Amino acid sequence: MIEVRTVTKRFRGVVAVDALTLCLGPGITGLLGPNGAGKTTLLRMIATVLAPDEGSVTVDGRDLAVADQRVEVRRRLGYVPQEPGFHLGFTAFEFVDYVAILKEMTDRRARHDEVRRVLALAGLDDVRSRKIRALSGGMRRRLAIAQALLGSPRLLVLDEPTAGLDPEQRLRFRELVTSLAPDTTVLLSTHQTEDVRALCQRVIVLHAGAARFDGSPDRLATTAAGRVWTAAERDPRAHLAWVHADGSVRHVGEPPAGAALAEPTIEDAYLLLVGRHDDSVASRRRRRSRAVA
Amino acid sequence: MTSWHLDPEVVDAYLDATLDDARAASLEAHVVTCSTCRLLLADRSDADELDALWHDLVDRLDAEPSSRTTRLLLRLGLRDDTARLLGSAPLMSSPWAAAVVLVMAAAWVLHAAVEANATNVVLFLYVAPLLPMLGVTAAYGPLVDDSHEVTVATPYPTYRLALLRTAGAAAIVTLAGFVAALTLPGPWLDAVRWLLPALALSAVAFALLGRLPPVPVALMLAVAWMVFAGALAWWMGDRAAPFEPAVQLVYLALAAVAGVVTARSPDRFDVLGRSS
Repeated sequence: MIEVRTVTKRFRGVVAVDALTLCLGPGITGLLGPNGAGKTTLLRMIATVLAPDEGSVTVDGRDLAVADQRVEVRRRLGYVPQEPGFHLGFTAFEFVDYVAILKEMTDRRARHDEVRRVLALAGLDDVRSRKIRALSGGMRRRLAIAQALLGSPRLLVLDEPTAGLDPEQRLRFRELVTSLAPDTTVLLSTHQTEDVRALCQRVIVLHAGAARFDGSPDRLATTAAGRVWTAAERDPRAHLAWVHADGSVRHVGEPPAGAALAEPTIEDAYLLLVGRHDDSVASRRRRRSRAVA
Repeated sequence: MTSWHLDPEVVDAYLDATLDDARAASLEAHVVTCSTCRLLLADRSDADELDALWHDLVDRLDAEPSSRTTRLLLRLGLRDDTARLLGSAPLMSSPWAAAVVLVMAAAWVLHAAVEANATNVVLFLYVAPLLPMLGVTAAYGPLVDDSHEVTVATPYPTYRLALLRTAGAAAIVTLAGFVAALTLPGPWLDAVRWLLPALALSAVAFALLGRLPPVPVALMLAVAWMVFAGALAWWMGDRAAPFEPAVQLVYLALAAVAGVVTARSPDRFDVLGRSS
């Protein structure tokens, strides 16, 4: 159980996460949000690599601000950063073995068996003796996932784990994540709404450091009900409009009379949610600048 | 496929673990490519034993370190996990080692050009203490370690890892400096008088790391050292004054104080961005 209580994080005065409160249990939770929404900052705080300025984060009752308790959490944690760095001169095996040493796996034989297990899970068994500098971007992403699986952690924090994966690798990733033990808590951020629909029991939409939606993917989609429609022509009042392959134009926003309503998707709901908050932020800024003038 | 095959007696010796290491390694390399000899090995051993041998062979191939430094540390008798953690340090890589040798060579050439006829080695003494300190500041942290974020999220004590890597870096640089010092003219004892200033600067640098970023620490200490040594030399009217025995005791005391400060805050390397 992860409890995030009124957590705030600023970088040079800019608020990245704004008094956020969340509670996450076992299962797969997806974080959606535009760039700069605070997803990575939130994940880094939960992954114990960044300290909040205000508020607290606890995992299974252990406070991450307390050194001993933080180490206990790390013993149960698997983490894929947004930009996982590698020692490029290492082989894939060596890198995961290096992380396994850091994860306190001291028995050499058992550690090597575990390294081979997670490399096989990530589909990297055949390239385990290849230098990392010779691996493709997708393979490196899978290598980052492999190291996170060491020791079958109870908590997996994955920052854009499917970025750079081809469609087959993404499907394999879904298979892998959904095969984890049911008591594993998985928190992943992504820009792929398809991943959220396929994987997550719960989705949180972050924007400007605050949670704008928290619920199931189906419930997120229904927030756009009645506001997605198709027409023959592009309507300039639509929040967003794009042409389908059949020539019809899909609109997201308030429908004009006579337009055909369409079944909303998570993507439509996300666009509306983020767009509405963008509009409100913009109007607040306009009001503020008028007041200053 | 190969044109030769193993002698059954050699296979038996291998299975009895009486074959010497070189011949055992040769046999293992051969059976990887020769299916006939794999069958011979299978016939003359029980399945479990063969599985264990095969597993051991695969394990050794998988775990062969690609870094020369790690291989050297293993040969020197370091524990497997310690050697791998130390060998992965950026400062242990060849470009860094080459940079250290170059800087030492530059200091030596500078000394030789400026003070070829002098009996003391003052110029070298002023530069040499900075190098282990720079090694310490460049040994650990997100600036020099690409996988730092993954490292920090593991339960391995960051303090221990930082200490291990900085000690390794300082040892390499100090060794290079020591060798360079021995080639300088004059009594050899004169040429090693930079060691205690180096220890003090390195200890203070390590005490400050985790509280301040490495680049400001390195710059601040380099300037502080040059100002201190220059001012003392000017005041005493002797360029070798910063290296006199009485001043050496000050360096020792400073290193001890820095050591105590370091030991009292072991978790300061722990969380990234604490001060942001």
